[in-house]
Amino acid sequence: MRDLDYNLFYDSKKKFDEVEVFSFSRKETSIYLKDNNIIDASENESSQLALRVINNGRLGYVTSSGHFRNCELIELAKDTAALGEKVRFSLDNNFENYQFVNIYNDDLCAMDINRMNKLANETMSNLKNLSDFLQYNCRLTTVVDNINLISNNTKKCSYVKTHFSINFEGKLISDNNSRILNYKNATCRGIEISKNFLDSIIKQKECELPYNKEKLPELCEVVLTPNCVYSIFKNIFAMSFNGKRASAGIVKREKYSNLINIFDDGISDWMINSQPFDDEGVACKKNILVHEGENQNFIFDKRTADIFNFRSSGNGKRGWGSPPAPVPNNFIITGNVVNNISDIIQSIKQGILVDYVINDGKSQPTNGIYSGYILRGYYIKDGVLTSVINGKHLKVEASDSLNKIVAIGDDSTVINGEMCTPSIYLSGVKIS
Amino acid sequence: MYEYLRRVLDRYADKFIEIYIEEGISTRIRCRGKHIEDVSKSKNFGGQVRIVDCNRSAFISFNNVREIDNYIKSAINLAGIKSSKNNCAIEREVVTYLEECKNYDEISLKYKVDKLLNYNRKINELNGVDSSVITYGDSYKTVYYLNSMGSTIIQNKNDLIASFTAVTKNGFVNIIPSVLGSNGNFSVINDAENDVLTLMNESIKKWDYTELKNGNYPIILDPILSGVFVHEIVGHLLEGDSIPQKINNKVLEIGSKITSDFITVEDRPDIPGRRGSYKFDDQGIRANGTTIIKNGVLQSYLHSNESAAKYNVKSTGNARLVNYKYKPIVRMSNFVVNDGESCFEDMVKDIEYGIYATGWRGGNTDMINFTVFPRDAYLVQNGKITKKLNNIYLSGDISIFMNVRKVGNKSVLNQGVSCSKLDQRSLPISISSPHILLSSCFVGGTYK
Repeated sequence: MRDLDYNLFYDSKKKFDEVEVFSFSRKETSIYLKDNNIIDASENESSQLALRVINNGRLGYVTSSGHFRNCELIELAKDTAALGEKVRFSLDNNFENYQFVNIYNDDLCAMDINRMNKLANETMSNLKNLSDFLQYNCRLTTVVDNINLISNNTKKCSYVKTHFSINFEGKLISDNNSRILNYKNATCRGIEISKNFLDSIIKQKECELPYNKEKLPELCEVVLTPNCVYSIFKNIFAMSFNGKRASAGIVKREKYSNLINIFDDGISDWMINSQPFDDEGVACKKNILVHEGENQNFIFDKRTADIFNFRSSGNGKRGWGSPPAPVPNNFIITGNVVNNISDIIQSIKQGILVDYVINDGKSQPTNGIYSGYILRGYYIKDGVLTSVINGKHLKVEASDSLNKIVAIGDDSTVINGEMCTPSIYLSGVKIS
Repeated sequence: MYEYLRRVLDRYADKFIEIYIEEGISTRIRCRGKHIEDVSKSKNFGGQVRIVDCNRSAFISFNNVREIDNYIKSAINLAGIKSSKNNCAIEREVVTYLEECKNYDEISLKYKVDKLLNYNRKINELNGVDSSVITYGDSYKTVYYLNSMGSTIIQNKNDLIASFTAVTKNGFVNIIPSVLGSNGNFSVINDAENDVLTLMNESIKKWDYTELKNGNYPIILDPILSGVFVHEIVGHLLEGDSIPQKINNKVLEIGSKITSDFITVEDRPDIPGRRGSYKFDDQGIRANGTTIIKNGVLQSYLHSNESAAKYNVKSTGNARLVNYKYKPIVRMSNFVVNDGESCFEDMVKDIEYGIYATGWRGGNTDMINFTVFPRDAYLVQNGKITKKLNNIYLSGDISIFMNVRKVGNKSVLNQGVSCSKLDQRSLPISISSPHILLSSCFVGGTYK
């Protein structure tokens, strides 16, 4: 890829006012386990090269995966630049002010299918020892990404990122009922989350309580665990704080409870959306989005920032075939005042603790509403978890509910390697 | 290229190996507010090698076809195949079907951009509209499928989808989407201007809003909503790789009654010219179409080779993949809910106090329970549509289809819909469905 991107860069420089070449390659190895069997192994190699140009002030963009000829891509870039948007920003970059961030692990980079098989066998053996009545799907994945960017002023920067992830969903079957167990985590560091995975499943398994028979009020006191906060709010935050909303005229500065702070953090060690610079070469950093409940900032790529005369926040990321757009790095949620999570639960006379929701919480980011069934939740009575909530429907309107924060827990946890959040105690949440 | 691939595959005739390659070009155009935001093109080339053994499958995706022999060797290693014979090569038709490659785009980029900018201008001129977002994408690709048993299939797969969204702020932000699609034919964009603008005007129209208590109500689903409703709740449930063992303690057995008599549902990839049309699926199986439910009785699940083997039946030709980076899994294609005999006006007249819900905004399901968000909803009182309801959701499980009392006599073909399953998003499909009247459905969450 090294020679290809330079060749394309220099050929394009002769044709356009400004040129930038971005190349990305990924190697992903996955093992898929189902009920104590390895049923699938896969290796995905993918690479893509993107040519972004500015000609007569207009932006053009073309990508290619697989084989290509420079002249063909240059012609396509010409077509798109003739019709593209007029922009004021430059494709120059000095690659300054980067912070070092730990996102690479030699051991993960060298992980081959034989070692993945060994890890898969250990995982199956551990799960089998837990229970004979556990049915599950589990995917173990290692990823190695190589990113290179040549900016218009011929400066080049690159990095390599590794990550490992575990995605597990299981059902513990007994005579009278079945319980859902789940775990989803990822890290750039290495395979040590395997230990954390097992601890989490054991903890979920041991929480055996009868089914709830008491009627719940329609508006309920609810504690959302970090797992559930991630499921419900990740999509909604990504939309709420996206600088593009402003250009569509639907910007709305959210006002939440003053107990909460929200950050977009691109430089947290080992989190999977960390990197020294974004896909446009802008240094990543930790940006305050919400401070004491007040919305302070949005996330921007170069183009969106250009519209408002702002600077990019280091959030310009490219999809497969699509140009840079504002995409969150890692969300970090903190409380101004935090309370011991056990004390929070003990303070609740009647309420529920929700740990896992349907469809892993694919919220409606356009209207900021999560609405779906609770897959793992517990009834709280007089400060104690007394029973399991089954088949209840939960509705959370993000803006409204984050105004009704009663307390924030001291149990901050990194979920899926991309959000660090504590439990959040809300009042007046709709349950049906 | 396929001659080269055939020569390589012939070296592995003692194993069951599949190769899939795709080559094409795609265009993206996006307008936001009054401006054009993105005009981009992508040239795509990639492929995959698949090996299915009895208990374990292996998959490799790549961009460099010259290394195909090495990828096949790696896949054999991944699958852990030790013996030379693969005993899971299911009996199947050996096919040679070669379409002439047409992975190019006949309409100029300028024409497309001008047309979409014209739409954008007209949407922004509508009374009450504050902003707009238009997203357009098309792709023209040729896909090659070869297996070591001798099948060689070349098909052109073209696709086009465009979504038009108006943003209004009459008291609250309202996002009004309208989506069009075709099998790559741009005339759908040329012809739909009036429909898109009329729909938006209707949605913007100032209604008296009212609130509704959570509860069970009779409800009419318009053809767009009813189609997506049946696709999400019934269709996904009957995909052979994800059928729940039991729902409400009942097994979904072939021959069992799962909806009221009024419902007949088919999956028809063999209907030509739609977004979900194909001659052969991505495992090289001929697509003949499947009747899934007939008069309420379950006739067949949808199958890939793997799920069919599990149920000891033949594949229904429903193995599809979104692109070369993913494996084929069981998917719907052109989903058809057959017409009944009722007209919409009679359905409305039947309702004393209930709801008329239109369009589709989203939803979620764990394969048993579902939550669905209509785009718009209206209160029906004494046989008349009276007031608008905001942000309602519908919820329940498949048993709700026992409550179907009437099915409309005029289907609408919805090509502005794509399907997501697991990590494979935005697969082209179409849904054809008429109005459906449910005697009772849980409706929640109304507020202004």
